[in-house]
Amino acid sequence: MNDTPSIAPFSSPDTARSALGNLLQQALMLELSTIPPYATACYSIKEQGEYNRSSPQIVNAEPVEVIRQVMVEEMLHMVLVANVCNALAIIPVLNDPALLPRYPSRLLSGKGPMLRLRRFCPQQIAAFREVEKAPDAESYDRIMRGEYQTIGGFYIFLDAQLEQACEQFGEAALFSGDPARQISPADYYGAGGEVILVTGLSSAREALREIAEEGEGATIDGELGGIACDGDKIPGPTGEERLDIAHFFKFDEILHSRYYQPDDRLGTPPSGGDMIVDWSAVWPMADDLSKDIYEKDMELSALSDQFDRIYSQLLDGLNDAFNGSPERLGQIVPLMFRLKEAAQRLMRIPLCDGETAGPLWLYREREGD
Amino acid sequence: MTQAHDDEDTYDVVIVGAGIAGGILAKELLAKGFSVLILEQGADQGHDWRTYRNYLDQYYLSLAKTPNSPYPDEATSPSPSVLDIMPVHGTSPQTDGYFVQRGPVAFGSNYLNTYGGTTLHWLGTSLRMLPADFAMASRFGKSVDWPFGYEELRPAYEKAEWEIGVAAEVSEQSMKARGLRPSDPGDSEIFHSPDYQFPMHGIPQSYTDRYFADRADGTEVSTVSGTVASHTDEVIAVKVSPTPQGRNSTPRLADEKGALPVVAGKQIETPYQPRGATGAFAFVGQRCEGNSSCIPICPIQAKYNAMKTLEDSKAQARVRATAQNKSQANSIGEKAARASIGKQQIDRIFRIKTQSVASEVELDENNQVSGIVYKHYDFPGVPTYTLRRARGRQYVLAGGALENTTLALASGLCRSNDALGRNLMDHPYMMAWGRAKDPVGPFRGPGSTSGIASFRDGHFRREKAAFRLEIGNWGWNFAAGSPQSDVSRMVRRDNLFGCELRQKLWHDVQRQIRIGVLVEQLPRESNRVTIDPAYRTAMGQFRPVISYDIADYSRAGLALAHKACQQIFQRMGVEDHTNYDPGAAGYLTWSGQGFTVFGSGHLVGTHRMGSEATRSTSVTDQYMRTWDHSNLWMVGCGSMPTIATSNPTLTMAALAFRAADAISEALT
Repeated sequence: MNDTPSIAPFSSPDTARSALGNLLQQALMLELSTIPPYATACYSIKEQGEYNRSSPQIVNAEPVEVIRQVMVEEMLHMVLVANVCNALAIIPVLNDPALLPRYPSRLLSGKGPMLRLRRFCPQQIAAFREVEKAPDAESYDRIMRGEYQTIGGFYIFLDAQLEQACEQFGEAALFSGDPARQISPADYYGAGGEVILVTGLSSAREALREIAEEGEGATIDGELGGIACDGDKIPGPTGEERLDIAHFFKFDEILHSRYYQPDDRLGTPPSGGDMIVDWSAVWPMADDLSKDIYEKDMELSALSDQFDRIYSQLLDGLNDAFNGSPERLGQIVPLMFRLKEAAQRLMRIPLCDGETAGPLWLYREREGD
Repeated sequence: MTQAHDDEDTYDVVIVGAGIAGGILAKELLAKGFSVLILEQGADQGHDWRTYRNYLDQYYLSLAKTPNSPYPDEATSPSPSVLDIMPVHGTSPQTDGYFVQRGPVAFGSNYLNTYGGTTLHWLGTSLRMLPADFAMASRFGKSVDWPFGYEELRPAYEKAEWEIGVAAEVSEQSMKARGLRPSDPGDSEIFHSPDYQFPMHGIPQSYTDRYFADRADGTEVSTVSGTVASHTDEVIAVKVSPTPQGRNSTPRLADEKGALPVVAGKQIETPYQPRGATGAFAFVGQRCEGNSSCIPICPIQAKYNAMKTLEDSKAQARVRATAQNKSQANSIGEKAARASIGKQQIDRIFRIKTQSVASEVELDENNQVSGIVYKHYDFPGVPTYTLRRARGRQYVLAGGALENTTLALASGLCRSNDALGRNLMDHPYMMAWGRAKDPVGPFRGPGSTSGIASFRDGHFRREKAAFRLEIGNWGWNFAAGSPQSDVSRMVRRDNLFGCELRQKLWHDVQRQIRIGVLVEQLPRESNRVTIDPAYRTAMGQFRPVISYDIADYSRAGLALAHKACQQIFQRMGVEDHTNYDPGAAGYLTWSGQGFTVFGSGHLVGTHRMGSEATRSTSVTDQYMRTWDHSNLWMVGCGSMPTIATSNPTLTMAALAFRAADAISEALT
């Protein structure tokens, strides 16, 4: 690995910044694009009282929690990417309809894994696992040429570009962002790990490494590759360290109905305790719903609009938070609860063939208020 | 009578009760290298997410969502329920439910006999007592002084706040910031130690709180006359201030200069790490989400409960077992040492035996405790048990004021005087509720995020009880069963339905505000807990027999509080809807006025601490070691000589830290 295939040099600091800006904006959208499919699957799981049994049963509480854990870490990743952007004086954009993810689509501009909006089912969880797959199979050379096919590969490429740019033009010239725009641990905590304040190359690389580790358990420099643990601590009892599991393994846990232990290896089945998964306690939401299905039904399209408006407010709020108003993060938390309610309201409405409606996750422009 | 079988292992310390006091004692003593056994009468529920979800199910399904509604009430470990509180008529005791009430006033409080204790349903309010509260006799000529002062307990308060994880700001909690004019001006300076900070930032005040603050701050209330004060009266100005709470908010990082706080004289090295839910769902509950059901249950455990401290204690035991294994085999690594921990090895360091009802504390010929006999049952709800005996070097009763007392009385302990079981106290809880002019957004956030501390101290305490006003965030929920009762009234009485009903409901409920009054009660010998062989549980345990009254001192305090609430409502332009039902169990009269009070669940007194001078009227010394039995300690709210105006959990936690130090000294 010593004769690292090198990245083509940048012609000027501006081209470097614009290339990095492109990649970081892609990273932001990449992290965001996982959230609607993950959330849809999570929301489609019936909660207590909705499940038709005479006595209350705990069904699928564990898969809900596992997907929720992954989701909040994706949110953390968005915050980390935004911090890298802001450190480099690059403006992160979260509410441009032209950039926002649509479904179904392949990630990484068509090169990566497929993401669709579907209910909680084994195929969908397998697809999620694919999203979080490590770049093992990819050759380093191809990644360096920008021909990555996994999210992990993408981050390796981004990291290399960042390093290259710093080498050419110096850290100080590139990291000229306003520190006040950074999201700090005081603005975001208790969901998926610690926010890293990005001030230079090393903290930027640390942030990118955290994203990669939490995803597939393999670090950019290969420290943890192949084991289930992602290096993060679980907020367990004082005085004891428990380690968290990377996303790839978390989805695999659901498919196996069994938990991984932190030192389980890739390719071997999980060795922890049982996880109860009930694939039938799920709202039968139709796959790949689109706007035209709702058009004929006034009430349905009103509910769908309502969902989209909440989603849009959330994105607008995030955009504000990432662009100079970090305190907005805390204020948009209630929107996430409303989002879930609105999604589940849709999922209770039957369409035909025993399937139900569901959220579309479409952005609507901010209304001029 | 069957013979009790001795347990195999003997421990340094045997604790009765797996609640917050027992948890803190265990954690502290384990950290100091001692072995600990906890006997808990309830089942091992709640500590992992599956059983906790059962609690939640039970809560969702309960029609009356009382404080104990989510939790099991088995014949093997019954708990008192607020639904059983009925008026006591004449001399025949009211025996419905777990308590036997002799009156004249029904004791209105409850608690929870299960793993984790009453912290499962507490609100989380974590107030310190005031310096004056430790010196009621010397300052106001009332009741007794504590055997030590506020400043002596202050370091333990700090430890307790860091154990519970209290969210508050020192700058907002100083006596001055809370508008408290202490009866001794020197109190303000000693309230917080110089470099102290709470582990987490304060929980934001609710919109209702700010609505109150904007309109009611500065309202002047005379502690003597009617609404018009004479110039010689002591006049107290109302001030709304945020309440310190044991629920996760934002952890405090180092300040601008990079400094972390000093807690109990020790420099903190790493910022506070909020603990989430116990068990596998550790990621949830690291921050309060505003689920608005703190009482009876926080669905995500963002609110502190003692199961968290108990989990810490278990982790502590594993750390010690790992160290043992490492020292035994030289070349063994950390991981292998951890992997080779056996269950027995852990059990010898720390064990919580649930479904184990302590039934008798046995004494030897030297009046020392020689063992605790307990009834171990196999199936919750089935009162068939085997008798066993736990042995240790030191024994601690930490099962709550009433359970400690019934066990001690049943075992014939502490008979050198007649103090055991006496001086039972609570905060009589009165409510005032009304309709604001504007929507205030009730039914959101924790149950209460602010209060009015202005009346917690003052010279008026010579004549009438001090009190704290608690601002409610959940409309008339506790006061009038809202919003369900509003729906039923609007449908039945007002004949509303459809859109109109929705609009009216929204309009009215949005404007509901409520104040809770927690008034001080002084210790009285006649307010007491006894036992009677006629009243036992299915397990053959003694039920608490309670004689209880609320004295004029507290009633006068209630009248002042009532006047203060009315003045506040008037000033705020709130339409008063307060209504006290003379048929209610807690209906009291004073000077031509009537009020209804409830219990606060603050069971205090019964085995109070004393000094050499008050030895004849107290049960334990100032370190909670019983006067009569040198290896027996009684720790909890029962240890408190006075109740003052703060919710007692934080003080109890501080006392547990104090006792842990003393017990560890006794062991070495």
